[in-house]
Amino acid sequence: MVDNKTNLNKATNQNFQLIFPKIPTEATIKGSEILTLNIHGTVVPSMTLANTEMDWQGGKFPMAIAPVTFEPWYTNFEVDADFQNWYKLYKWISFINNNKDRYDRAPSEYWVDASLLLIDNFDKPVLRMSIANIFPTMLGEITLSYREGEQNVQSSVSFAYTRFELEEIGVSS
Amino acid sequence: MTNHYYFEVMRRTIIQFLDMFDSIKIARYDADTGKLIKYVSVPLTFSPKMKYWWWNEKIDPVTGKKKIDIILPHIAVVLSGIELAQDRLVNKHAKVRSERMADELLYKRFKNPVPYNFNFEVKIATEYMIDATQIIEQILPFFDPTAFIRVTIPELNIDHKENPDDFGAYPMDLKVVYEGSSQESSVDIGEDEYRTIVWTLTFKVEGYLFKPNMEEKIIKTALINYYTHEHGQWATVPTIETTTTGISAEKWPITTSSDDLSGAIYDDSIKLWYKYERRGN
Repeated sequence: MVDNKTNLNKATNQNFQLIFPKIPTEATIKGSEILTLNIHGTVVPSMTLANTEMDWQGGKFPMAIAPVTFEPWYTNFEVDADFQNWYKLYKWISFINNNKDRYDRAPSEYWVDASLLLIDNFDKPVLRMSIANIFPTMLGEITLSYREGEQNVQSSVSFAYTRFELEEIGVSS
Repeated sequence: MTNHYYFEVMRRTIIQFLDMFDSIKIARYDADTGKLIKYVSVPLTFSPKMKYWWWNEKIDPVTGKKKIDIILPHIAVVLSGIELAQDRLVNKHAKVRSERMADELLYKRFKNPVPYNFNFEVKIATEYMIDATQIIEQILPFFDPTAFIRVTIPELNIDHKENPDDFGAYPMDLKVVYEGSSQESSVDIGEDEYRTIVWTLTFKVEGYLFKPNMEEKIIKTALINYYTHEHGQWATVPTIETTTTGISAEKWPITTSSDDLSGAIYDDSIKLWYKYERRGN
């Protein structure tokens, strides 16, 4: 059915909600909640379809030549007073490889799926972005200083994943 | 600008903004025991400057004279200015169909609304500090730093959808941004006066204003020509659906009827029907 109504409203960059599953190094979902509690920003990754140009009778024609690739998923967070969210991400990476006595694992042991809900201005979910098979590949630095006590400690994490899928789950009304 | 038009957009924006501060209550506590005595509703007014407060007229029991005093606590809202929001401008030529006329030959359309910021001051006047903190604490947490109000404009069919064929637009979500606050309280107080604490909260409502509706004839006929290349595999790719069983009318963008297949060629090597036209002769 054609929707004749037009949506003139604009999204703001606060219109998201990140949902994290139980991570492999935690026994319960409670251990993951500290990760989402202090997240203050995330970047929906770009996706790129590789293409090439073919010459044909004096013209040029673009065509796809390879699978779509997804950039890493970056998330920024404030470190809690017990450093627990930063520590849990460290444990997750060390669970995969600690360069000491653990050098590899089967991907199914450290992969999880995450969701990013994109919501409208009144918190109604409109799109669900399902990110498949994520695992952390970079835990950002944290800067400690006796001279900059007025700022909270910030850090970041980037995840590798196989793909993300977008699903429409509602429209404004 | 010869014809009058008025969609009450400003008025509706003001009303919805005021609605955010409606129904705020404060609690009164017993001075000795600290127990809750009652809840008091805080009156809310939209007022020009210098007439913020409700004035209460009563007879002084001692002198018998008419006495005028202000009611505290009180919230007064002032629209202090409107400015064009150039950073929110979008395609000024885009139009939205708002209504289909009864004869079905005309549409009413309006152009993309023009973004304007409405600057408001919310004045909170109280006699006691605890009244002010109670009121402010019930307002500020909702602005982080923005909240939204929703405005409908039935004249343009900007409202909720009631049936599947509705034209127009969904209700407008207007962002309300908290910009800051200041506080002042009287220091020099005369013998017949009392202290008044006034908090001023400033907000910006990211609103819109509309140009008038215009009528446009509907497009009844579209003349479309598809031109594809005569030779090579590129001849068919842009317009023809792949099928191995034949051409269905729904999948055939060039024709409107499955009978119109003259000139169509089936290329078995790529399992594709295709058809082309040549420009001119």
